Formats: sequence, structure tokens, C-alpha cells
Amino acid sequence: MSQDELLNSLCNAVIEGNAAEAERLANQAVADGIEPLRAFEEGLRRGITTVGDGFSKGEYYLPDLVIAAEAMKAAATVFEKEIARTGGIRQSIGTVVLGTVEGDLHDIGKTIVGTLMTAHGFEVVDLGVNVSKAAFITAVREHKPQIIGMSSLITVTAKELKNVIEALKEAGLRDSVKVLIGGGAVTKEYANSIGADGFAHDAEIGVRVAKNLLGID
Amino acid sequence: MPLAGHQCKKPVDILTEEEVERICQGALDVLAETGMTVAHPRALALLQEAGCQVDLETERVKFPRDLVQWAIESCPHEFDQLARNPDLTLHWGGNTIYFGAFPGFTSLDLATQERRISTVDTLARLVALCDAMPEVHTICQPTPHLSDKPPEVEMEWVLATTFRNSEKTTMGAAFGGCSKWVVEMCSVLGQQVQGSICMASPLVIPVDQAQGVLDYAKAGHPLHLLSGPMRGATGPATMAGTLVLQTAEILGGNVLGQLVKRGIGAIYVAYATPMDMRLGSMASGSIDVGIMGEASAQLARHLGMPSATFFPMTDAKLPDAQASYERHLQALLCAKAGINHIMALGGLENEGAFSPEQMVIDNEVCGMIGKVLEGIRVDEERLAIGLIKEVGPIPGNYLRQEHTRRHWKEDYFIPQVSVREGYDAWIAGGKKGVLERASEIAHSIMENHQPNPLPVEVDRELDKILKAVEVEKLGI
Repeated sequence: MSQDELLNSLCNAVIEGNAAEAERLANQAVADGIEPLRAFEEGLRRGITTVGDGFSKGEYYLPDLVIAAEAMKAAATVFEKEIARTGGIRQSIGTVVLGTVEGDLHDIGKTIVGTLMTAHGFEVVDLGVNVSKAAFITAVREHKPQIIGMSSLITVTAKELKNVIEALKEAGLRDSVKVLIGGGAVTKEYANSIGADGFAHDAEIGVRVAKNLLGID
Repeated sequence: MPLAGHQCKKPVDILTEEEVERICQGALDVLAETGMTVAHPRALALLQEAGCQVDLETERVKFPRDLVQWAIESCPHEFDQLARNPDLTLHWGGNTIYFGAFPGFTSLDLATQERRISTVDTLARLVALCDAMPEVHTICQPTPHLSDKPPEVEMEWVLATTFRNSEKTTMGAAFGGCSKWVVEMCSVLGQQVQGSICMASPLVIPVDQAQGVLDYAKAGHPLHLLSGPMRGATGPATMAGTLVLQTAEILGGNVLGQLVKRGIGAIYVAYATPMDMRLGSMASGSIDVGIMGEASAQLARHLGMPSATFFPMTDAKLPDAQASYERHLQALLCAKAGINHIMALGGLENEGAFSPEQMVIDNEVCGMIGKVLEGIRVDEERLAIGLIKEVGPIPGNYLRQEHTRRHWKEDYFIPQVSVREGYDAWIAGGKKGVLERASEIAHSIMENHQPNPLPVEVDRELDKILKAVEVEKLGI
């Protein structure tokens, strides 16, 4: 298989959401000496962008997108190790630290937003659910994101959104990140009242707001 | 005598006996092999004592089949839910069908159609509207929000406001630990609620919901065991798979309920919706929600439990054509299938917003559905063979016949909001459509209807309870 053929196969494995195949091809690419940054862009990124664009056009649906992202993640781990080993730096349009706030176990909406952001070229650090404010602060220090995205589906935990923003202020980090919030418990008025920078109820709008916050069209 | 409601004499089955059996066996299998997470120490202890395999570390409970079966057999097939006015007591089970309204979350302002969060006062008027609607037999758990109360005490205020503005029965929730306060309110009011318990799919009984089972069952309130997986997200994408999951969750909750109080009434409540695969949100107006309602009625019948659906629902944002076809198809499917409690009249936008106009329109449609359920009465008097002979061919007619005057109403449905006049009369009347008519009716009721008030001393007791809630939850 030529390098181009291998990258095409990798791209297709992402589109088909075949994680095992994507990981195998990634290892193959590394073994064949394909430059990992190139493999990432021309294999993985091209695959996820195809699915992301197809999703926007209504050709692909959420199960396609989420499973493609899983395949991408499996292969990306291989390349990231190689990139770190060779001292390269991967480009992205911005880093987003994402999580559902403490006390709230709702995972799906947040995951959809993260997946769609990945498909649009963001580097996404997904902290999962029931994320404490301390864990958000630690992640902001470690990953230096441009955006922190928080979700709260239930009204009882919405106050945590405010607590994280306050904690960012106390840690002197508030000015370093834009705060984007979403989830069933959140309204635009609430977002304004707690001093969030952006708000969205649906994943596509969330991506648009994130891009606007970073001045990307 | 309990409230009559409607009777579904011949419920429609959509599954074969074998399919019903496979779904129920699947549920028992899931409960035995995978079990549920129950995040509540006392509930875990009860379940362990009864023979469940409990991992205290992970809070995972595996339910032996014979225990689940014992709990099913412990459920009464039919039971009453007492209202403080005995005429409004509900009889759950059998072929009786009740409709329930849902005046919670937000509501659409009558004047502007803008969505707003209720205050205690505006919620009071919405409950009064439900109180005045003849097809609203019970008022469902009005879930918060209230803009003029702190979130920690919203639920208790919502319940108290409902009790104060309608003597129709209602539902008590368990969110945020409100169940013990609702039980206390009920003992002052002398009535029962359906203790609404919401499972978290897949396969979790959250801590406040487990507490709700303990509180409501112990105090003798029937349980309203609701499972609401979102298909493709928190449940299998397939309808059959989600029926297995939903049944497992409800039966798991029922085991806990029957252990707390054997013989406590338990209602099988279906709330499954598909996830929209583009938006990632609930597609609550989807027709398959209604199909799942049909299957749920049959499964509940098989298990010997009364059934309920937390739908009809719609994704429409306004009381428009979409709201009507989505809601009313679902409602009709559920009614024909014999769902005992068809909930959530008046709701739009996945029940996120209550619309007074939609309430009035739903009331009309539920009346029509009641007519559907009544069917056709066939007897000598109604066959009218003698009359047909007597009237004979034209110029004979039926308008001046005593038979017409005597019987027409029983076989007609008399609409309030539907437009029936001729074109010219409609123009002359200001071209009012269904919405304008519904709006006028809603306006007039919300301005003028005075629900039967609570006795002063009972009202004062509610105040004391609300005060105690604030002391405990807010420290004031």
C-alpha cells in the first residue's frame, strides 16, 4: 500500500467508524515512517471533517458522527504518542475543555458537542460528567484552553456553572478563557446573569458560538 | 364513587402474547444479570435483606427472578387514589381512562405567546385553568421552575400552589428530596398523591427517587414508576429493546416499593422518546412515542399494573397544526390501547412549556376521544327501525321527531372551539380560528374561575410546612 493509499484507508476507517481498523492503520502508518502530523491531518482530520460536513448537510446522523469520533480517537492516540516522541506540535483552531458540572451525570449532550467541535477542527479535552470545579481549574491550568465548555441539564446543579466561573476568577484564570455553557437547565438570561461568554442549547449552535468567541467565521 | 373518567371497553393489542412474554422475560433477565444502580444506602439494605445480590461499593443491585415475580404479584390490579373531595377520587386500573394536565416548567403567555417562567401567582392561574377543564381528571406533577422562589424550594412551592388551586388529585415528585414534605402536606390535606418516581436511564434509581419510593410507599401513597429512556441515547434505538429496558426499570422500582409496603399500588409509566439523530434532542412528538404507548398499555395489563404515559407530547413551539397532529394522534393511540392515565395535556415543546390555548384545545380533543371510546350503543330504541318506517321517504324528516330531541346529545360531540359556521358567518364573526377561540376561553377562565379554596386552617398548615422547608433547605 502506498502512503496515499494508506492515508485514504485511514480516512475511510474514520468515516466508517471502524476503531480497530483505524488503530491498526495508524500503527501501520507509523511503522511505514509516514510523518505523524501529516497522517493526522490527511487521514484522521479529513475523515472526521467529511462526516462533520455530511452531518451539517443532513447526509450523516449523530450515530455516524459519534462512532467516527471514536475511531478517530483510537487512531489519534497512536499519532499523539509519535508526535510527542518526535517533538512536533499539532495545529488546531482552538482547545476546548469540556465537562458536565458536579452533581450532574448527563453525558450525551456534552459528548455530542465535543464530537462536533472535534469535527470542526477544535482540540477537545473532555473531562466527562460530575466534574468538580477543582477539576475544571486543574484542566485549564494544564491544557491552557481558549474555551471552557460546561453543561448542566438539571436545575439543581445549574448553580455549579456559576461556582466554576467564580473559581476561575479566584484562580486568576477567568480572563484566559471564554466560558461557554449549555444544557437543559440553562437559559440565555441565566448565562448573562452569571457572566458566561456564550450559551447554546444545541450542538451546531454551540460550535458556531465557540467559533465566534475565537473570532473564527 | 370515584371520578368516572372514560371506559376503554376493548383495548387494542398490538403485540402478540409471545412478544409480550419475550419483552417481560427480557426485563427479568436484565434485572437478574445486570441489575440496577440504586444510590441509596437504606434502599440497598432493604434489597439485600430481601435476597438481592448487592455490591455496596458500586451500589449495583441484581434482582432474583422470583423476587421480581413476587413484587409483580404483590401489586394490586386496581386501587383508589383518595382526593380531598371524594367525587374526585381516582380509581386506577381496569378499563378506566383518565386524562391529566401538566401546568409546569414554563408557560406561554396568553397575550404574547412568549415563553415565561411562572411565578407562584401565575402558576396558580394555570392550575385554576386545569381545575376548570372537564377533561382534566387529575393534575400531573408540575415540575419547577418558579421565578420567585429559590431553586431548592421550588418543588414544594409548586405542589403547595397546586393543592391550593385545585381539589383535583395531583402527583407528588421526589426531586431534590421533596417527597417527605409532600407526604406531610397530604396528611394535612387528607388526600393521596401518586408518588412520581423517575428512573434515570439506563438502569439507575437516583438517590432522591429511591428516597421518594421509601417516603411515598411507607405513607401509603401509590407509586407512579416512570421510565423515560431516550431511544438511541439512553435506551436502545429499537422500540422492542427500549420496551425491555423500560419494563426492567419499572419492575426494579416496584421491587423496592413492595418491600417498603407490600400491596402498595404501583403504576407502569411510559415516557420513552426517540432522540432526534440530527439534533441530539428528544423528538417527543414522534409517532413512535404513541406506538410505544400502545405496547406499554399491553405490557402493564399483562403484569397486572395500571398504566400511564407521560405523553401525548409535541415538539411544536406554538399551539399550531404540528402540536395538534402530534399530540392528538399519540393521545388517541394511547386511549384505544387502554392506557389508564394519559398525561400532560396542554404541553408544547417536549412538555417544556404549557400553553393555555393548547390546554383548551386538548380538552376538546380528549372529549372527542372519550366519544370514540364510548363507541355506538345498539338497542331497539337507538336502532330506531320503527321511527325510520314512520318517517318514510322525503318529505319525511327527523328534525321534528321527539326521538331526535331525546337522543341526539348522547351520540354527538358538541365542540367548543372548532369552527363550524358557514363562510359568511365566519367572516362576519371576525374570521376567528381555533386559536383565537381557545385563547378567549382560556382568558375568561383564568380571569374568573375560582377553585374551591382550602379551609383556612389547612391553608395555614401548608404555610407552616413551607416555612419548615425553607428552614431546612435554606437555613432561614
